[in-house]
Amino acid sequence: MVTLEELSALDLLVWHRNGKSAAGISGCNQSTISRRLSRALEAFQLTMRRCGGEWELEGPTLLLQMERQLHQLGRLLGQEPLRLEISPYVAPFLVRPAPPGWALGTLDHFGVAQPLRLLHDRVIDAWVCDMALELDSEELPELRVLPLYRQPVLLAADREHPLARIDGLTLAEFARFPSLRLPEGALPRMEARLASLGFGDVPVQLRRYDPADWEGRTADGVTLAYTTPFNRLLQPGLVPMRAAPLLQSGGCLLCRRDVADHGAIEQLHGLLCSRLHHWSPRLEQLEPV
Amino acid sequence: MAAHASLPVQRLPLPFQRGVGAIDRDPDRLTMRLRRSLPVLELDAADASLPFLHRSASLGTGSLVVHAAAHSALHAVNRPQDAAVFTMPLAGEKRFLLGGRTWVCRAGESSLYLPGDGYSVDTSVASGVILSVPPGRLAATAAALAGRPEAAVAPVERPVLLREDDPRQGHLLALLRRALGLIDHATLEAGARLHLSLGLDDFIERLLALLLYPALLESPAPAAGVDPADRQAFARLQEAIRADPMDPTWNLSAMERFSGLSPQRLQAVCQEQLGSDPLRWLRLLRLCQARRVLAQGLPAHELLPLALRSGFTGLAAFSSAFRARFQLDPMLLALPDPADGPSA
Repeated sequence: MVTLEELSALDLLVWHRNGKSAAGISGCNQSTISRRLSRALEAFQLTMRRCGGEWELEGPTLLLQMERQLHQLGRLLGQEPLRLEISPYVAPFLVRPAPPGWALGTLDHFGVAQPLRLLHDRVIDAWVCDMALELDSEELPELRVLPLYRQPVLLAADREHPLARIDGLTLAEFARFPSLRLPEGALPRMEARLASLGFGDVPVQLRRYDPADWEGRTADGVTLAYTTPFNRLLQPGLVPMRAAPLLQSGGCLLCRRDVADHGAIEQLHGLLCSRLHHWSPRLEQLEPV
Repeated sequence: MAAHASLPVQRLPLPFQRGVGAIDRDPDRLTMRLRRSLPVLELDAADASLPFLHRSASLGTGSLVVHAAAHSALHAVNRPQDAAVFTMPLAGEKRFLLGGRTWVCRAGESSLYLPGDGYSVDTSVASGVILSVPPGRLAATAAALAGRPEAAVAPVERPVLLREDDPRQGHLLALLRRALGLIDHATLEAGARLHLSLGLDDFIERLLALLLYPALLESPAPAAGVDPADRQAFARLQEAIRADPMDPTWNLSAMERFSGLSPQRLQAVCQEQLGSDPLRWLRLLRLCQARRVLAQGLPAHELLPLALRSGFTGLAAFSSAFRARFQLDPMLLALPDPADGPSA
């Protein structure tokens, strides 16, 4: 049997990746987190290891999952703040200030795999994804996907790029310029689409989203990156190329299906929609759903 | 049973639906009412000379029905039914007579699964929860938990006594108590409709399946090569510790000496048999014993000595572990000290 604090220590460490953040959220010191973590791992006969910068648990997890489900119910019933992860591209617009009753995550996930795992394991309660293209609802039967908006993904570059202000170009005309390659496996459908168009020849080592390591690579004036309406507001130095969109994607709120009808989820969805409508006049080409 | 006989029913809270539970003072009328949802053939007060009081509430979904009750000492006879019954006392004790055998479950010690056969029961003043669910449903849930929903899993058709001092069972029973503790919140969230919401019913069914099919929780890579002789030695050790878990001389070294097992072999056999390490199991036994001591009436000023005897460094650590295990504050179970009582 683990206490609420012990399971929280384990899950906050998995979610926020380090003891310092977990301690900050829990209002205790790191040694307390470490002690609680040890007890939780011992109780569930689990070990932890780092893989790709994220913590993974090894051992039988059925009992842990039962505990997590109960703790999630407790959060939904108001016993602790609910846990929300959100794409770094939309976080500054949709969760500032944080929705009442929700604690925010690291806001730096580049791909979809880790947030999906956190959601599936009930470490977090909801996730705002801004690459709905990567989600196949048939492959995620346990999740409910609540669409928020549709948006195009466009080629983008520094404002000094030679083709920056030229109208009527085709995508093929950009292929001679270097373009950023997505971290392998982070966004597989977009990766495949870019590859099919001949983009993505500049490899980037990027575990977590950091504008300096991503959009910052376009500062050479020739390298191409990719942008969305939200990203354009965040990166004013990056201009979209005047060509057809690379692909259409969108944003959505995801939660586990068995908690999707709960009032807290519905309220969060309503709040996100309302904030989206507030921003939408400034978000060119973004269509709220 | 005498230990709980003096507890007034009014002091026993219903585990859920505290504000809307039905109150019955006449056993005959209660019998008629209960027959609508339970297979009750007869029900009587254990002592007709004492006032009878029965408070109860029920919630149901498609396959799972949850009853909560707090009542005077009583005797009841139930007919066979399709659904299995899982009874979890939260105060007092119940003695079931079934197929010529007596099964006793006490609050803080054990819960009992009955597969649907008829039985008679004698209780002390008691409170608790009765869960009613078809055995086939639990078998199907077990198959789904095993990742083979199409597999044919045999329903459990024998009584199963589930012990709080068994690490795996105790953990699941504690989870079940916590889940039951959420029912009031969940039903309020659902607009006060009398059904469980948020998947709590499914969660409870899964807990019951895990209790009845313990292999579901076994590690896919079991500890290799535990010697049968080590298992026998460990069984003797368990018996000795269970006889007096509060004996302060029990520690890891004493356990190794008594069993004649090396630290590694003791760890391995304890892990295999109980899914726990020896000291964690000893602490669990002491917590269960502490709860028994509290149920028999312990003045509040003796809580700290009890905490220390239970192997805790202080009252705060003891209270925290006790609450995590039993969802009860030990201070509330302790008797008020005479000096704390109302002045005349």
